[in-house]
Order: sequence, then structure tokens, then C-alpha cells
Amino acid sequence: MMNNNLITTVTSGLLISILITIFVSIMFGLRANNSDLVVKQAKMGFLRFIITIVAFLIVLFVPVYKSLTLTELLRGIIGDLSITTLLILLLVLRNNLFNHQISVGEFEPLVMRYNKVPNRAFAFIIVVLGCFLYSSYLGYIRFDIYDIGYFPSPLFMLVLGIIELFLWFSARRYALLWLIAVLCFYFKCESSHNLWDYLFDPVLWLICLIRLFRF
Amino acid sequence: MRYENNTSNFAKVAFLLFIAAFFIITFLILHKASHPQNPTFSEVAYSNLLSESIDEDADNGEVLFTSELIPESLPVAHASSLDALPDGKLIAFWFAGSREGATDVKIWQSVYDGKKWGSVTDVVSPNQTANDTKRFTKKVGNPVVYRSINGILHLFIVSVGIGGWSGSGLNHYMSHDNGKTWGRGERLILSPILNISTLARTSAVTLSDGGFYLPVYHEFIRKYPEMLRFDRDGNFMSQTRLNSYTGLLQPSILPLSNLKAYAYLRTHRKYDNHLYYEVTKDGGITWSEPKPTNLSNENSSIVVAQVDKNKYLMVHNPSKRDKLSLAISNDGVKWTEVYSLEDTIGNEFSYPSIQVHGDIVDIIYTWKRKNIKHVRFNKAWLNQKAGELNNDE
Repeated sequence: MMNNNLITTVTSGLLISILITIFVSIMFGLRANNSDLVVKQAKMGFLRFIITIVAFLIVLFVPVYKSLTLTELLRGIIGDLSITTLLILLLVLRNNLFNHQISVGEFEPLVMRYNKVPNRAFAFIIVVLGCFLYSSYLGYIRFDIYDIGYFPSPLFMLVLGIIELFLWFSARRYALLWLIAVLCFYFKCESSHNLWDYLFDPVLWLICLIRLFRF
Repeated sequence: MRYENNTSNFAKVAFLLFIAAFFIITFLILHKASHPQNPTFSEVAYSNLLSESIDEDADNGEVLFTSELIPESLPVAHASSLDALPDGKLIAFWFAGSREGATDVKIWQSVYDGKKWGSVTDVVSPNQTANDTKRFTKKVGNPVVYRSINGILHLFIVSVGIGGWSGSGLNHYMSHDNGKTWGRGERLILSPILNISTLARTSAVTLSDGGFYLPVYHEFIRKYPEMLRFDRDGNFMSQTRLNSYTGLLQPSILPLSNLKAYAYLRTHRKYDNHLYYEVTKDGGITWSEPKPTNLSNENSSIVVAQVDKNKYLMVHNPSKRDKLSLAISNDGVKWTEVYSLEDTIGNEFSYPSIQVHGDIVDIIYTWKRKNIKHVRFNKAWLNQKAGELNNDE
């Protein structure tokens, strides 16, 4: 069994380091516009990738307050992020290195401009699910939807249906993300015992909300 | 060409669907195999008649009533929790420091050897919780102790990273040597919203599989009661919401049989000061609508325990927190106040914790927000007080 804290720490670390990369990119103009030459785009993408990795190592290992790292400080405030968020952040990282059209160095929100991270259909489904889950958790809906995540047989049916929706909307990548998230739930890769916590989290929900209405 | 593309896409989608279906079905089978049994309350939880008296001197029918302050010198002490150890000992935890919510507040512990309370030692600080859980922690509070059937001592404490108590998370510590040493604390993941706002206050209830229910409550935006289920090794399994009405919190669970239990709830409502209760008849999976008892409650924590067959004892603040009383009931619904432990206007006596072991009842509570007070009496004393009340009537 892997360390439950490891994956969530890495996810938080990635989130902060990508945010730092965005900030640095804005400050120093490390942007690769579509009009730029391919070579320049590649250089900028690689540079941002390096910045992200360096920032990642710093926020993960360098204590900044009472022997706590920046990642641990963030976890104390926003809790643990989901497997889906981790995978999307890894996609962002990969895109930064290999796909120079997708840029985290833009002044756009963290994830991403017109080119689909996250996919609009995915964002829509996450936003709708989040509205129900969070309303229920706060007691505005009498039925406790979060509770289903502990005994998730019915929830699997819903997940399967949503995965099919992803496929319907040609969002196969996200179908795969959720399958991986379900697999991680089975192997208890995070501290949570609730399937919902593997599928999405408030940070991803917020990103999807911005994605849905901003672009 | 277009036809070929469509065929290719269809094949890909069909393949992905097949993979998804195979995966999910396999998962369902595996999950079904590992699904926990429905919970039932342990006989230990609803029949303390099984347990031996821990004070043999008091078993001869003589009336016993003692009270003392647990010696401690910090300016503020609050939210104590009590459980029994082997050999007639008791162990108590509370938080104390310069003021509630201050960063110097720690969780403190003391052991009662049957005659007197031992030295007070700090167990958990915000820094320690931060290091254990790898999360920023500003303050700690509300310890709850529970000794499971297999002898593991569980300590639950709330901690806050940012904001007030409604932003709390719940941390779990375990000791295998009755509190002499403690393992590394673990943050429980209990909420989909930033994992905040799950607080504990009242003690756990034993289940027949050796696991236990820990009563907890939610505070962020709306206040409602919940229960966490743990297995016999102290692994968190699931949570159940008792109701979704706002303003009912800090449930105290009173098991009546292996499937039936009452939950009594602190009321935090502007225009309602009834003390509410609700019932489960399926081992805590589902709960009835909350109903008012004949007692009032003005936003104060209460605890309930069984003291005899069909005899239940409640420690509660009948109005403000300047009065702390004992009430008894034969059915768990209609309660009669029998004795005032404290009654001094302008002071606070609150947050009781109770342990019933054989003939002896131990209660600890916040005394003037400065100390933790321990009251011990036996059933003869309680019967005497109930008898005096009947004679007066």
C-alpha cells in the first residue's frame, strides 16, 4: 500500500508550482503566442516546464513556516485534492513540454484556454455534480449524496453513465481519467474512503466553473 | 474514407465502453465481497450491568458522593472527555491554554487511580498536529477519548488551519499502552468541501463487531449531527448524517438494544430551546425525525448514559450554562431533573462527560472555564436523590 499522503502532497505541490509558473511567466513574459515561430514556442514551453519542476521541488521540500513546506501549508487550508485534479495537472505539465499551443504561461486561468483542459463537456458535468454534492453536504438537500461515496455500488452506475457521456462528447481522455480515479479509490491511494473525493474536489470544481463560463 | 473513419471511431468507442464495463463490473464484484456488515450496537454499550463495579467499598449499599477539581494551573480549561482504564482507573483529556482558540492551547491528559488525579501532561499541540498530519494547524480543541474493546485508546481532537471552529478538521491518535505513548496523528477525510467542519464532542459507542460509532457534527454554514463508523482496529469506514435540520448538533448516543438507540442533540437555534432527540431502529443506518423532549437546551452540550436496566441518566444545562443538572428517565423520552451539580449565576459549568461502570458514575465537566471538575457518586446516592424528589411530590 502506498503512502496515502504522497499522492495528495504531490498534487498540492503540482498545483502550487504551476501557479508559480504562471506568475513567473507573466512577470517575465515567457509567453509563446500562436504567431510565434515553432522553435520559440518550443523553447518557451521547455523553459516553463523547467520552472514548474524547480518550483515543484522547492514547494515540496523547502520549509517556509515552522518546518512546514508551502505544500503542507496549502493542504492545511484547502485539504486534499482529487486524483482527477492530479491527472489534469499532469496533463498541463505534459502539454507545456510537448504541446506548445497549450500554455500555462498565459494570463488565462490555470487550465487552459480554448484547447480543452478541461474539456467543456467534462467541466459541465463536474459543475453540475458539484452543485448537487456540495448543496447536499451543506444540508440544503436532505439526502446525503456524499454518503453514497462510502458504499459506492450505485455511484459506480452513475460513474459508468458519465464515462459514457464523456465518450459521447468525444472526451475520451476524461473517461480514462475517471477510470484511473476509480482504480485509485479501490487501492485507497489517498487518505479518503469516499469515491467522490477521488473524482473531483472544490478546486477542480472552481476551475471547471471558470472554464464553463469564461470561455 | 469518411465511412472508414466512422467505423474506426465506432470501434474505438466500443472498445473503450467494453473496457469501462469490464472494469466497473469487476470492481463491483470486488467491492461487494469487501462490503462491511450492517452495524449493531454491542451489548457492552447498552447493558453496563455486565460490568464489574470499580469501587468495591461503595458496593455495600452505602451512599457515595465525592467531587474535586483536577489540579491544573492554566488560565482556561474546557471540553473534557473521560474514559475508563483497566484496574479501576480513569483517563481524562481537555484543552487548556491562555484562552479558547489561542495558539498556545494544547490537549492535556491526567489519570485517576481511584483515589486522586495524577500529574497533568500535555499530549497534543498545534505544532505536533501540523507535523503529524503534514498540514498547517493553527489551533486545537475538543478532545474525545474512547477505549475500544480490544484495548486501544483512541483520541480524537479537532484542529483548525484557517478561520474559526467551523473550519475544523478531525484528527485521530491511537495508544496501545493506555495513554502512556501515542502514535502519529492522522487527519480523517470527512468532507467534500476542503475537508473542513467535522467536530467531535461526545464519546463513542461500541458496536458488536468490535468497532464503534463516534458522534460528530458539522458546523460550516449549517449545523447538523453525524456519526462516524470505525472498525475494531480504528480504521475509519463511513459516516452517517442523523438529520439535515440546521441548529442541532453534538449528538450523545444512548443505545437501548442491539439495533435501537436514541441520539440527544444540543440545540443552537434562536427561537427554539427544546432539547431534541431522534431514534434509530436499524443500528444507526437511518434515524427518525428529531422530536423535542420535555427538557430545554440553550446551546449547551449534553451527555446521556444508562445507569441501570431501564434507567438513564442525563447531564445537561437546563437553561444557561450557570446551572448543570442531573436528570433521569425510565424510557429515554420523559426526563425528570433530580439534582443540580452546580448553580451559580455568572459562572459557566458545561461540556460534561460521563462514565458508568458497575455501581459507580463518574462525571467531569468544565468548572468556571478555569478547571475540570470530577464528580463521583454511586447508584445508591442517585436512587436517594430520586427518592427525595418523589417524596417532595
